Amino acid sequence: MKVRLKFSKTGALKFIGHLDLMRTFQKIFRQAELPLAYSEGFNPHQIFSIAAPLSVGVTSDGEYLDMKLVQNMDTQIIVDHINSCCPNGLKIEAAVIIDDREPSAMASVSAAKYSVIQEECVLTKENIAEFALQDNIIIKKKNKKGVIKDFNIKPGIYSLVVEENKIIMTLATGSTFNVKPDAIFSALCDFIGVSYNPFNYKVHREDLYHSDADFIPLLVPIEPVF
Amino acid sequence: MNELKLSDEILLSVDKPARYIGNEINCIYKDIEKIDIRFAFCFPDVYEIAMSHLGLAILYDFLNKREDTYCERVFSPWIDLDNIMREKNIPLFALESQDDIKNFDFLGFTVQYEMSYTNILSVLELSHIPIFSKDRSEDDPIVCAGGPCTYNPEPLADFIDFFYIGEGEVRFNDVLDLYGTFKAEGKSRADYLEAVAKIDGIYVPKLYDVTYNEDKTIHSFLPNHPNAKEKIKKNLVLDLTASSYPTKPLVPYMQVVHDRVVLELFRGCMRGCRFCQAGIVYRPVREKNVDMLKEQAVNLIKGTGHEEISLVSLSSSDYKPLHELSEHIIDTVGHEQHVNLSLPSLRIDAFSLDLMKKVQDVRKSSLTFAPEAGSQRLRDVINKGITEEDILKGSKEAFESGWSRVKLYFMLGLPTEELEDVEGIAHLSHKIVEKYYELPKELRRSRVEIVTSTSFFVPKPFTPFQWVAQDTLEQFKEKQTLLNRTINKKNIKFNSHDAKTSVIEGVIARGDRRLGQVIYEAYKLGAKYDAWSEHFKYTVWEQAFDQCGIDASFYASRERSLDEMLPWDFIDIGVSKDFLLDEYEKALQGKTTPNCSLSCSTCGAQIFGGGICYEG
Repeated sequence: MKVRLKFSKTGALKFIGHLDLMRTFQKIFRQAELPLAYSEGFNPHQIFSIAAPLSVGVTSDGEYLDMKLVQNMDTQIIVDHINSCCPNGLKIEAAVIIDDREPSAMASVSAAKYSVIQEECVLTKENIAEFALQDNIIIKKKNKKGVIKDFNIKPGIYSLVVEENKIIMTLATGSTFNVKPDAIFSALCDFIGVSYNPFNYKVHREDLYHSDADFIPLLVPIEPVF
Repeated sequence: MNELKLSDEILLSVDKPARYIGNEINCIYKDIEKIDIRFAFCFPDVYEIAMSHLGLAILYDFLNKREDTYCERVFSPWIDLDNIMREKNIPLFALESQDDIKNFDFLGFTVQYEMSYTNILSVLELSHIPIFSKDRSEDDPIVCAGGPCTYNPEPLADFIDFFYIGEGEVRFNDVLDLYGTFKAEGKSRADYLEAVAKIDGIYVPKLYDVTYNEDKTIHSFLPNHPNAKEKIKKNLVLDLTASSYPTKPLVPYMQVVHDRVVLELFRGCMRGCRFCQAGIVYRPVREKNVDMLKEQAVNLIKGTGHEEISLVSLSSSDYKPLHELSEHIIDTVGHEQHVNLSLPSLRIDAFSLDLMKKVQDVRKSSLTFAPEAGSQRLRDVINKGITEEDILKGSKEAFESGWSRVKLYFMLGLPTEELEDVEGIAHLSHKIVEKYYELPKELRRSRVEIVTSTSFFVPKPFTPFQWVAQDTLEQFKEKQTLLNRTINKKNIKFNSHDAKTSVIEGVIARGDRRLGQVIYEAYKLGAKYDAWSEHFKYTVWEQAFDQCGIDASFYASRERSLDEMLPWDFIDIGVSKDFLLDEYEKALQGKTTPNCSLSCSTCGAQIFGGGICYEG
């Protein structure tokens, strides 16, 4: 059966990169004695994938991992087993069974919601509102050939508002269109003419969403499960 | 989880922040309020190296079994963070609690190689602990050290408050019990160091005085305190099966050098290669019971989730139930959990090839031979019980079984070596290539790849070669050039170790107390991470010797007379000096000595009352 896990990555875990996180999950799953499916071949590996890599330094309450088990298990037992092996800062929040036809979390993800705290208030509510009103927001980005090109990120900013002391934003995420939070802050600082200090912004990912316009969290599968 | 010592800004600007945050799977957390003794265990190198060390795993688990003690880890910060910590005056901290090392009761170093000595000084300075033992006050931790290099503790004598000689599991509890009592009674650091000297295997350098002859050799080495023993006897675990072994070792987030769980088959080595310090100081051979190992293998996988288990020892083919154990591992965690088995240190023969075929992908793996010397004459001198016939037969069988990659390890500069022995390395490598081309064409699947690597011989204390002159830099280079010219590079890749590193290693390995000032001077001049070729600065060391007025060649390339008092003579490893002398003489005559399982050579290790000496 296929299971989708929603997990959080907080505290010191924010310094662990994507590949190290994958390796850590392999070890946690073996420790938890989960009946994971393995690939074929001389070096079989566990079949699981993570929806969207999280940048080092970013915390999250809305990460997703799809895995394949060779035996059916109760989702709560899966959650408990894994959590008993997790280090501090890594926690499975929920597990749902998904249908075999369900596209992978990695293929489904199209948006991410972030909440950001500024250590020092550089960007005001007005700055952000004005910035968001622009028709085009052009940043310089290296393409695959290493050539720096102009790139319009405006279509990838689904929302950008200030709520109380936090900047809340929903950005395009995934393999087809991806806008990273630091690109927004760098562009914002340029826009108001202050220097960009990446350490000023404590970025937290809230959740990941499907490829439709309604921002349905990945925890809710598209295909019905019988 | 504890508040991190370093700010986000620092952690996000250094390479691999995972080195500094602790919190790994199986990391031990304790309530500091309920702890009497705080012990910082230091491997003085970068995280990835340190975390691959089995001794750390064993002692971390062993010390933390004590309810009154909390053992935490501290390693050398990598150069980038080292610079930041000095610039911002941030004291070095332990990974678990992230508390400053300066506030610990103990800072204990494991000393695995000579080229880590400047890192020890660096850890002390970064911790804001005085580098010299004599400058420490009641507020500073007690600084202790152990590990293979401390069988000659003298070059570190100025920096370390006490040394623990031998295997930690034996007496470390006594060391800590005594400390607990003294701390509760409010006794001083000086009181403790005098008292701890009574425990077997403990060496407190300040309780000894050394005088020198006019020719700079040692005249006398004498205790200056009634508690200090004349001879320090190494501690040795007799029953390895019953000895403490971790069930849930730490699992690093990042990829470390050895990314796997490690199971120790036995300690010691029966072979008696004359260049090898480990083969002498860990005598006698003590095996672990195979049933215990089977149980531990399964539990270690369960406790860590690792996908590879490695069976380690100094010579794994000498473990009689190796097949039985390997098969058990393959049949249990191998099949059920897709765990790989790795078998380093095997002698290549039909028996081990058969085993290796079962556990690894022949096409992807390479085979390793360590002939160490290029000619049979020289292999007899070093008592490397392997013949050219063994090597060629092993290669042939390996090629027939599908392997096409072979690694060969040799040493240059072995005692009595002539240029023809050096050329012998090339000839042996060529003969192995020929063996490949003797295979029928249809069996030769890919191009044969032979990698011949040489290191330079460094004479070590407590070996039959402890008296010999090490080759000079010029001799090393001459031999290296000759070999490089002689080896046919068509199928053979030739790697050679850096000769300058080996010279400094040679000086320190057989050094005495007077070298402390050179190590300190080198450190002050910028020596650090000397074991890393990209950071090793030979000129800094040359300058340090100059400034201290110490002649490096006195330590490295001087032949000692057999009656000279050696700096490490006060350490008693069980193996007698007479045996080493006897072996040295036999070496010069090219006579070999049988291994311990064939016959006893009365080396003296029998005195411990166990191990192979009594198993026949």
